[in-house]
Amino acid sequence: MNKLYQILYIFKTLLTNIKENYSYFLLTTTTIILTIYMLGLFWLLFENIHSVIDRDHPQKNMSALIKSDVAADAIEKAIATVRKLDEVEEVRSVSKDRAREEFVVHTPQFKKLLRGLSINPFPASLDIVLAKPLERKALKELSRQIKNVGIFEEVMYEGVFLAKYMALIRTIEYVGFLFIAILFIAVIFVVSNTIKLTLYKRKNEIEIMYLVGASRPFIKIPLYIEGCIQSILGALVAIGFLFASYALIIMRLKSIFLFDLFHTSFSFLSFHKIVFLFFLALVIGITSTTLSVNRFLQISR
Amino acid sequence: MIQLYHVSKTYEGNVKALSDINLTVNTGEFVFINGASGAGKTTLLRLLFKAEECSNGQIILDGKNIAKLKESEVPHLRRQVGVVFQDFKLIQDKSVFVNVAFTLTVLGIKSFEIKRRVWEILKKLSLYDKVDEKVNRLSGGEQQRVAIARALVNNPPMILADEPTGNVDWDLSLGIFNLFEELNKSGTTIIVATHDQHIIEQYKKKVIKLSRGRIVNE
Ligand SMILES: Nc1ncnc2c1ncn2[C@@H]1O[C@H](COP(=O)(O)OP(=O)(O)OP(=O)(O)O)[C@@H](O)[C@H]1O
Ligand SMILES: [Mg+2]
Repeated sequence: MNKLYQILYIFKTLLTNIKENYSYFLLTTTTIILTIYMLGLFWLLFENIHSVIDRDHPQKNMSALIKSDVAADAIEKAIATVRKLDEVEEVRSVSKDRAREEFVVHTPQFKKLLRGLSINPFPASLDIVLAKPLERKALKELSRQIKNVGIFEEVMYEGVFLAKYMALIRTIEYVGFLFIAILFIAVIFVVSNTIKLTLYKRKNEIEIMYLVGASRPFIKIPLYIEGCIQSILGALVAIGFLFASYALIIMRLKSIFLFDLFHTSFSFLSFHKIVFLFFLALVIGITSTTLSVNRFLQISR
Repeated sequence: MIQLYHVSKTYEGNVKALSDINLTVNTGEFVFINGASGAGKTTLLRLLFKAEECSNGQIILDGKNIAKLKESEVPHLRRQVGVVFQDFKLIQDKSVFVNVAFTLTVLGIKSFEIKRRVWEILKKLSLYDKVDEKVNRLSGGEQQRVAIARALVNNPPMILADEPTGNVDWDLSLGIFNLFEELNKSGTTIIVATHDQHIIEQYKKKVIKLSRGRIVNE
């Protein structure tokens, strides 16, 4: 029975604390919201980029775009060179006109548009069929060899963009995670100092509580609960914002038909990851509370 | 029973507040601690509920050396001791009720029981019409009585009162000391620090006289 009344008292204290220091409460919660939101956004972004990157379907086809003013015999020579490569099974030359025709066949909706054009924007190219499907890394190496032949502007295959910028994506990713980690520590610092400010406001009260026989847990528990409430509230709002942002971005992407560029569907963070974001928010709340409370209680004894 | 053996207290900056105090206060005794300002009365009281640690010597409370209490045991000690602080130590922006009830809420007592007890003690100290008033709107003497009420409300076996009548007139002082005497008759140990000679003469109790941190008679 005693415990029940103590718990009731703790909750009453908690509410009073929040009411009396609601600006600090909001400040802390907002900080947590922003942190979790940024973290989630970053995660969402890389999650989806990865769903593209990690799908490494071996490819059997490449297309080497020929520079605009290459003589016919040079093209013939190049075809012969490419054909001799071990990985290559078959090479077919595609003229500028043929490229245009094929495009029209595949996408008839652009027929009119192309007819209005006085020049043919399509380059001549070689369609290359490989002996066996190759993964992205091998494709990149092969495309380099083909490009070395000299007459080619660009060697295309599915995933060429990713193959080229993989290292950059990885670097951005590492920098991003480093940034998030620093942000995380900074936030704990900021939040713990905010909590310390509220404690200083209540310094006198806390001291008196001790002097008349309140135990440490009795004083600490409401502070910890407050930290947890801020964390959970922060995470909840952040994830709400995150979902809204996600929906907006997807809508935008769909409307500018970029959606199918990577032949993939986007997805929101999984349930586990959302739980993990809550966990991170709690880490911020509890660590900050611990830091501030312990340092403060050492001072005020 | 409280026993002090060769207790001294030196504050930071080499301020010697108490030197070589030897003293015994039996359970159920009523003792005055007397002495000029700065003699060390407050310091002596603060040592008894571990608000301050002594620099030398030993303080034994009911057979237990309080220096050896674990930090988690200190709150328990303090709940056994009702302290009237010289500077009251009230939570200024809270009501009289909240301040007085605090020691009871810490113990997890039912709220109607808390109300009853707070009401009772405030009535004894002629304060019941101020129960919902914020402390910072009370006079000095009223605040002092709130501080006394808080110390007495949970019927502790020992009361330490530091100048409990410093801010009230003679009639109220007598009222407060009569209350102390009443509690003392029912077995409560009472230690009062005061420099008020009139009170000391009025009540004829044991007097411990301090001068510059030393006991000069007993
Ligand atoms: N926290 C402290 N830090 C340093 N010195 C202190 C501290 N508290 C008290 N003192 C010093 O210790 C000595 C005794 O102080 P104490 O408060 O015990 O006196 P007192 O007898 O209660 O005086 P008063 O009648 O004025 O209340 C004084 O010289 C005082 O300056
Ligand atoms: Mg004093």
